[in-house]
This record gives sequence, structure tokens and C-alpha cells, in this order.
Amino acid sequence: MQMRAKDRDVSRRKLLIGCALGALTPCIADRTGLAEASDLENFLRLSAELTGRTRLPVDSARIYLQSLGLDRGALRSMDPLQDKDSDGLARRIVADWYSGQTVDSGRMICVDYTGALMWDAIGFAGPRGIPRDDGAGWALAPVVK
Amino acid sequence: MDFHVDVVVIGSGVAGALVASRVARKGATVIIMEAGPRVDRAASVRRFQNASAKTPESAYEQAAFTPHPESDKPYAFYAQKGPRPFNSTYLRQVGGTTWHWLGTAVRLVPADFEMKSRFGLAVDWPISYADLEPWYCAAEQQLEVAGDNDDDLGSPRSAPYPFPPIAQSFLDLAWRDALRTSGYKVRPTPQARLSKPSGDRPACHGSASCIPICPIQAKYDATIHVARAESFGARLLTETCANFVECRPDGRVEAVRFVRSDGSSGRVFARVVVVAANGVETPRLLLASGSESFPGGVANRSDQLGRNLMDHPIQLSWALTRQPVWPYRGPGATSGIENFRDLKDRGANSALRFEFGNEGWNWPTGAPESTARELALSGLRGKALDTALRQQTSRHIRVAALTEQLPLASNRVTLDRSQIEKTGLPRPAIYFQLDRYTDRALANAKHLHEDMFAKIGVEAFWHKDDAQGAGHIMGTARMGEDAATSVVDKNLRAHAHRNLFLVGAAVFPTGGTANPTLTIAALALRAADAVLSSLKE
Repeated sequence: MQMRAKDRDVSRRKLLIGCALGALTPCIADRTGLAEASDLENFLRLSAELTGRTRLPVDSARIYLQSLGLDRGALRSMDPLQDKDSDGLARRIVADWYSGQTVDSGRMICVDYTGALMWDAIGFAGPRGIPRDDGAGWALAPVVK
Repeated sequence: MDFHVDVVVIGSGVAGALVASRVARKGATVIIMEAGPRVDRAASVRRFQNASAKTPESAYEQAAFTPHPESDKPYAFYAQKGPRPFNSTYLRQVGGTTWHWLGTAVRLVPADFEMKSRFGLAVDWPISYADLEPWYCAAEQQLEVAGDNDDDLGSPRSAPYPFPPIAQSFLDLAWRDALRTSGYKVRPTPQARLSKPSGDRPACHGSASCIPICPIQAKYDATIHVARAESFGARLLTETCANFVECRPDGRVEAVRFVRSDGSSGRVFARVVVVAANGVETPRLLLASGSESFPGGVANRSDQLGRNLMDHPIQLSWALTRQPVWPYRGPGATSGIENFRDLKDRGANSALRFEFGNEGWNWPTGAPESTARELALSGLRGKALDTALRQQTSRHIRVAALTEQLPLASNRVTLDRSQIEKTGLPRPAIYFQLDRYTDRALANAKHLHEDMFAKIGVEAFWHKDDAQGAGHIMGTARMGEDAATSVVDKNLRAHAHRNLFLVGAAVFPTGGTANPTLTIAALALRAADAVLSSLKE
């Protein structure tokens, strides 16, 4: 079983984040849209830094960001990588991306089950409900690279 | 709108679908009346994947017309009247609860049919294992069961399994090796999922989602026999809920009234009526059909209808092994321990069936999502997080012990007439409690689980404090020889109603510890012959 290698190439990461942000263009039509896009841009940048992943879907990011209930522009002044006060926020962001879930209005919701980062990390198993193995490979130890 | 047919079958789960298919094949005109809708498999898989709580029901839409119980909301559907909530569920849709069954297809053992005469407990069945054995073979053929012919698991066989066994998981083999020299015999589980392609159905691809849904129908579900019945000319009425069974004073059932989701209503006049609506819905319909001649409901002169509700209350335990066992792969369960189902001391101690899950800690904790969150919230990131996540989840194991619950008259389904569903049916009210026999079984299972965990080698283990529902709803229309103490006879014909048959686990006098679907199927096939004979009367 092949595990997807993580992309550590910074310039490539920036390029992909840029592509993702391109999808935000329709939002940037007025001041409110601009502020929202800026928050989302900051959130995606921060998420990429925290998870080491660059292909982070914008739709999920929007939900994760919203669930944090932050004031507009709050992320601009935060540096969870350096700032101990923001460490809880950083942990929460990583937990959301890895589990594909977030807490919304006090209850857990599923945001992106099949795209949760945990599957790449686990490697030997994948999301349920997807045909995976027609050779009864579950009888064998997986080959984890 | 009214219909006139030879046979109306109420319910399209495994029991109803098998009867309808068999009877229609012989040329009888058949209507299958199903309260719920047809199911879109692909949409259901997506619904499951998008669900926050991945419960057995999470793949299926909750219909306003015919709602179903949900395991994470035990008070939402049932009117719970007992000291503890009844938490086994079912589905109201074409194919019934076979959509989210595990697929385990084990037989009862001979002693399960003779609890009274062998152990002085409960009642005997009016038929023996030998009576049912040929029908078990027929059921295995119909459900295309994959099993290992080297071991009969305590249930003697007259024919081989139709399909070779499903491969045991790596995790099963770790259990087998760890328990090899102990009294626990780890055996491959007979399963109604294809070990090789059959017709247009593929072999199991290890989608790891048998509960709640197989995305490719490698696991048997009753839509297969619904389709077969339709191909033989049966007519399926969906979103059509039977809400009253009309009887003449002499007991003959004349018609079944129904209401549809669009508000229309009508009657089906049939020579034979088969109620196959599961252990809650069957008594619910018949209790709601009280009349001047049958004030306690149809088929309830004995006052046993709705009583003796049983499940297989489960002791669920889980642990973190020292070595990786690579769970979260393959079918939901591929091995179990069957040699505790037929012990000699059942008079004092319940039989037990142990099932090893391949889905890690998903059932008790919601892993791997919960594990990912926990590790991330602890502050791990990057490679450290990935490594910890892989190392933790690769060592997740769980075992479930199914216990035998004896029939208690007080455990019962009644009607809460203060709450009427859109179908016109009162909400089912449930009184459910566990007796000392089951409590002892659950405690015993905990000790045995700890013994097994010690043998396989674990860093830590946990137990659920409360018994878990198995989803095996049995006993509420028990069969027996005596019309004064039972609801149906050994052919599943209602005692006071010659043209009324009840099929499904509701007719089980006792429950043993075998997952009930194969026995439901065997009894349904046997009853289908009686239905055909009664058409000649």
C-alpha cells in the first residue's frame, strides 16, 4: 500500500495555495467580500503551515473557519506557530483538518469524511464505503512505505 | 383504491421478500406492501459518509411518513416505558433492515430449540433443529452464504455452504494465534456476502461499511428477493403502510387497509395475508387492529402478542494491542468464537457468542476520527502526528459478546395511543429490562474479554458499562403448540386466523445467541410452503 508523500516544497505549496485562493475571486466584489476572502486566505495559509498540506479544499476551509467563531481579521494578528496563547486554536485547526469534522453550535458535524487528512496519515486503511480491495487483502499485513 | 390478490405480504425485509418470491414463483398473485420507499444505494453511501455520527441508520433518510428508530436517539421514535431504553433499531424501506445488517449468517445450535427440556428455562420451540436443518440449507443457498465446511460450528449440516469462505482478516488471525492453546476457538464466520461474483453482483471488495451499507451489494440484502418476486409477477407497493387488518368474526382475515404517503388509502383483499414487518412493527400493526370480535388485537387471544421482546444484549469491550493488527479494513466481522454458544451449564449461565470487529474502535469511540482529533488536540503535528495516528489506529481491537436474553412477559411492545403517526398507527411503546441471567452473562463476558485481552497482549482495555443493542428484535409473536400461550403455530400460522401468517424474528420462542437473519430466512422459506398449501384449502 503506497502512502502519499507529503509535499515539502515551499514554492509549490505557495503555488497551490494561490490556485485555491483563485477560487475565491467571486467573493472579492465588495469590502465585506474582500474581508471574508482575506480571512479565508489567512486561514488557508495558516492551515497549510500547521498541517504541512497544500491541497486544502476551500469549501472545507470556509466551514472550519466559520466554526471557530473568530472576529473578522483576527487571524491576521495571530501567529499560532509562535504564540502560546494561540496554541489551542492551532490544535483545533489541525484536529478539524485531520478528522474531517468540526464543532458547530456545540455539536460535532462532518465536513469532509473522505478528504480528512487522517487517511493519508493512517495509510493502511481508507474511508469506509469505498470499494478497496477485491483480493481479500485484509487478510494480510499492509505494505506501508 | 382496492386490490384483489392471492397473497399480500406486508414488509419487504428478508422474511417478506423470501415468502413473496417463493409464492410468486409458483404462480400466485402477490402484492408486497412496503411502508417505506425504495433506496438509492449511491445516495445512501454519500449520506453515510457525510453523517457526523456513523450509526447503522446514518445512510438512510428519515421519512416523515414512516420514520424509523435511530440508535443514537433512543427516545425519538419509541415511547420508552421501561427502566432502561430499548436501543435496537430497524429500517422501514424496501429491503428492510437487511440494508444495514452485518451479514453474519450463523445457525442456531440444536440446544437453542430445547431450552426448557434441557435446561429448565423459558420454553422449547415447537420444532427441532432437525426440522429446520433442510431449510437452513435452503436459506444459505438463497442468501449465497460463504462459509468454511471444515467446521459446523456446533450446528450439524446436511449440505455444504454454497460459497467458499470469506478470508479471515489479519486481525482475526492474530486473535486465532493468541488464543490457539486456550478454550477459545476462533473460527471464520459464515457470511451472506459473496466470496466470488454471482450474477451481476461482485465479490466483497472490503469497503469496510457492511453496517450501514455495502456500496456494491456484495453483501446480501432483501432487495435481491424483492426484485426476484417482481420478476415473477409480484407487485410492490412502496410508501404504502398497512394500518389495519380486517377480520371476520370467525377469524378469517378479509382485507388489509393501507394508507400511502400521498394521503390516498385503500384495501388489499387477499386469500392469505403474511405479516413480515419485524419484531416491533408486526405486533404494532396487529395490536392496532382491534375490533369487536378481537378486542385485544388480531392474533392476540393468548395475550402474548407484543410480549417476550428479546435482543442479544451485547457486552462491548475494546483494547489497544501491543503489536499492530491493522484494523479498519475488510468486511465488518469475519471471525467469531462459537464454542461458548452451546455450553452445558446454560441453566445457570447464558450462552455467549463472541464477535471480533474489523472496524477497530469505530463502534465504541467513533475512531479513527476521534483518535485523530484527540492526538491533534494533544498538540501533535506534522510527522509526529501522522506517526502517532498510524501507530495508534493500527492497534485498535474490539470484541462484542452477544448474550442470550430469556423471554420475559413484561418485556413488551404496546401502543402509545397518545401519539399517532401519519400512517394512522400509534407509536410503539416499549418496556424493556434485563434480568439477572443476562446481567450475569454481561459480567461474565467482561471477565472473558479481559482474559482474551491478556492473551493477545494489550496496553489498555475498556468496557462499555451499558449493554449495547444488537438490533436483533425477537419474540413478540412467539410460536408454540398451545394457542393459549403462543401467537402462531409451528408453520407460523396465527392460531385463530387460518389465513394469516406471521414471519420474521418475532416468532422466535427463544433467541439463542446466533444473529437471527439466517433463522428468519429458514423459517420464512418453510412458511412459504405452508402459505402455498393454504392457497389450496
